[in-house]
Amino acid sequence: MKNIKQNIFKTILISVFTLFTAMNAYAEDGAIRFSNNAFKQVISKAADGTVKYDYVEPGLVLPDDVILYEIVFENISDQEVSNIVVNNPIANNSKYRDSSATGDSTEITFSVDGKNFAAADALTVKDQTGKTWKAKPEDYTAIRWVYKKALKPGEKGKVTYKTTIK
Amino acid sequence: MNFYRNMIAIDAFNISAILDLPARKNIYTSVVLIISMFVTTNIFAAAGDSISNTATINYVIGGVPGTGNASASFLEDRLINFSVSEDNGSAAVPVISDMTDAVMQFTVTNTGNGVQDFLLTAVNTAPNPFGLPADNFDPLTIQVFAESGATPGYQAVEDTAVFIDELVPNVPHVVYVVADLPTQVIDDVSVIALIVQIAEGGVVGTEGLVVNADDNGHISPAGVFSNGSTSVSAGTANTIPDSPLTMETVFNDPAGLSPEDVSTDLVQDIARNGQHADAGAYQVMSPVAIVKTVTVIDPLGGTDPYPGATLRYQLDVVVTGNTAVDNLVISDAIPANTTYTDNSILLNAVAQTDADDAPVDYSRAIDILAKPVVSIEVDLSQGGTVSVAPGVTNVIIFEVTID
Repeated sequence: MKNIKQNIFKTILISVFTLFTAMNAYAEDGAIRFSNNAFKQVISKAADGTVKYDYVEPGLVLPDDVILYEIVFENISDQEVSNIVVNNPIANNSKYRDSSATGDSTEITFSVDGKNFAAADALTVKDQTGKTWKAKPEDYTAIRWVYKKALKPGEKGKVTYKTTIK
Repeated sequence: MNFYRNMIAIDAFNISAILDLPARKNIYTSVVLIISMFVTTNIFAAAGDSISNTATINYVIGGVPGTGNASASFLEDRLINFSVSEDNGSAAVPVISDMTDAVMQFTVTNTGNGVQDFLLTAVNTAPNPFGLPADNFDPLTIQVFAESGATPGYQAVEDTAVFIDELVPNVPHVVYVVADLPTQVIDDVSVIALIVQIAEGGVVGTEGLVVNADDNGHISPAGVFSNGSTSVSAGTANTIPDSPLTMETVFNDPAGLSPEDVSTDLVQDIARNGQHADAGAYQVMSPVAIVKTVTVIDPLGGTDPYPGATLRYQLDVVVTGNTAVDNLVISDAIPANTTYTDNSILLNAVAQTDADDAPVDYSRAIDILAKPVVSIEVDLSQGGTVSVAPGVTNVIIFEVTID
């Protein structure tokens, strides 16, 4: 009975969301088309031993699944855009995966407090006794990409990183 | 349908989109409330959580700063997984004939990502997970109780819960199978499987509804749990499409390791059925454990066992299990080539007479009058008037000399 109820409810929920798929979108500014998409990493191994990575909609997400975030910024204005900085706090229930952050022409820094950013090697945390340790990837709470070039009209930039679900 | 995508493609001239915003926000808020209600069973764990991520961008265009942000979110689904292990290692639990409340301890660990209740039942099964002897009897009664947390070990007064309540991930919980046994002989074996079934958490102190189907077509068999008070039907297979916006439930429990690790359909537990089991065994043992030691005392004060030296024998007698023993008489033969030392019997450091003179004491040296003494005998039950309680060690000492 419980399951039947759940199923009916889920069906309703899906319908509600189908109607308002676009509701999360909101305007900020006109110059940059900015998107943030999450994909679940699916690893499959072929008979010849080759490993294939696919990135699919995060429909079924369980602990230890790997999520790829793909953040794209596109200059949709007719002027050059400069001083581009992308900030992204690590999501709840998620751990940053070591060395997964990418981004062409970017300087990538990390933070353990959301305020102070540094290169991965320079980042430290303090334990309860006040002792300082090199921060581990799972300590990171935010990532910052500083785009080192100007973005011409019509140009796109992309940064990515991966997390593991807790 | 890319529910999880929150692409922003709205520029400053898209007036209609901006005007739409407040109405959309309201709808969003109400839907979020519905989701919140739906996942309240897991507020202490990850299952059902919305994993939400917002990236922001800052830039300069024509000397003017601009910002934007974009979110991606999806729900973490519910993983059902747990372990069940019998705690007596690789050996049967020693029991005695006619024992009441014979306890077999198990540990259940929730290795999923939600707070769950766990339904419990124990059944007779076979074969013996520890090899021989084969299973050859069933207990008179079998009950299962969860540890209350008050006092470690089974306490009949405290450990009365018949299910595990609100078990958070990765915290082990002790469960006791408690059986009353019939009259059996030494080495008889009874094999018992503890079967654990996943159930909904969410309400402290209330046995949660069984989760007898996941959203990927897996089901649990019908079963009777909670010492007979809860009967559940088999699940109905269903398949809910994976969605970033609904919490699917996924059975990922392992199969029983061995044929005796059964599920409630009494066949070997299969993977992904919301149940898991482990089996242990009761084996009837002697209820009395005796440890015998000897000390050599030679006439020169050394420890050389030559003629004339004294051998002091010590018998440490303890009743095992949890049932007192009646008519417990300990006797020990005097070894060949030795002679009993008269009046050397001590019971718990109290000197005993050699004569058969109860109730002065209840020890004697057999043939003390005819000599040689062939054995000593100590009646710990004092002529059948005293039950010897478990866990108390009685120490019997007697001496002989080497001929």
